[in-house]
Amino acid sequence: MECSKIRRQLTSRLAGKAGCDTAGRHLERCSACRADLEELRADAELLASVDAPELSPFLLTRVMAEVRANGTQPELRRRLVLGRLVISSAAALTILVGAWGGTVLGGALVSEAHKDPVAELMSFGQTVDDLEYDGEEEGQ
Amino acid sequence: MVDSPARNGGPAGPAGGSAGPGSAAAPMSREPDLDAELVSRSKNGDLEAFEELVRRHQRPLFAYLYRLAGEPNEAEEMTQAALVKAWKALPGFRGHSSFKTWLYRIATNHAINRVKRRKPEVELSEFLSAPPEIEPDEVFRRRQRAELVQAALEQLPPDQRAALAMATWDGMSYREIARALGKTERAVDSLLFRARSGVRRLLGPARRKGLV
Repeated sequence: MECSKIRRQLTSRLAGKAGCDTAGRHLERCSACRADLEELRADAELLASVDAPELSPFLLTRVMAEVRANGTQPELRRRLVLGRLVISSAAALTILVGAWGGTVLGGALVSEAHKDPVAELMSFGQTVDDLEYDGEEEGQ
Repeated sequence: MVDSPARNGGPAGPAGGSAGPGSAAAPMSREPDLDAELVSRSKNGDLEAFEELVRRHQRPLFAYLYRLAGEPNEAEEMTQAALVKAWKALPGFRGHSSFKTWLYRIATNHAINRVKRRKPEVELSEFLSAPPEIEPDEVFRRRQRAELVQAALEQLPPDQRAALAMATWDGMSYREIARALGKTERAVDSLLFRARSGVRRLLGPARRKGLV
């Protein structure tokens, strides 16, 4: 494998990725590539040794103040509104179904109450004559 | 409130707990469950939980943004903006990646656009042409080294700088960097290769002068 190809893999080797065996064997043989890897490692160590400045102790307070000023997250607000909408719709639907059911049931009861008593009796196999006959017997 | 080692955002190793390139991630990353719990509570609007998340992540996030911006006040402003954005977007966070990676993605998107628009303020050559101290003490040396590194970083394109900062100081894996930058792992590998080559080229003269 050529040195240029190996050098292309040195960064991932630096990040702890082993790479292919060919690269490993090449590094054992090639002092130039080994020196390259060492230099990369030294740079990485140099970078890592440099600290960032101190963070202001008030950042947390500032972030939380802005968050509080913003109130509920927009997505959460949408969900809450949607949840409320679903609950109100379900309640409205329940009321509508209840009203419809009440109307149907009430209608059935009313029609039951206004049924023709004669027709009802006839349905039991009795006739008007039978009724009249019974009445006469009582009269005598 | 949940207690954590990263509490109060104190300094933790080189910029937030990373032990160096390819090392294990910051202490907070060893507690992904705690992050997940805090995220879940924050998603429902729990401000205390979010405050704890801010405490845990503000310092490494600030350090990362400082590497990108090169200026502490601007980095702090960016940190605040990224954290507030994260709060607003949190209910939509599905947890496909860690909270840290997701937060870095928000921060990177915000920061790179700003950084792209401007040129580096300090040229590396300014440092190199400065008269050398006869016997610089350790504090001076350290400050000089930090300034040189930061000046070298500022010469790199923002995406290379972002990838290098995440790999070097945050100990993030290729996969995490790829997610944070919205790129493939292969692209991250290429970015890091170019970034490291750039740093080597830029710091070469300083190294030859024995400044780093």
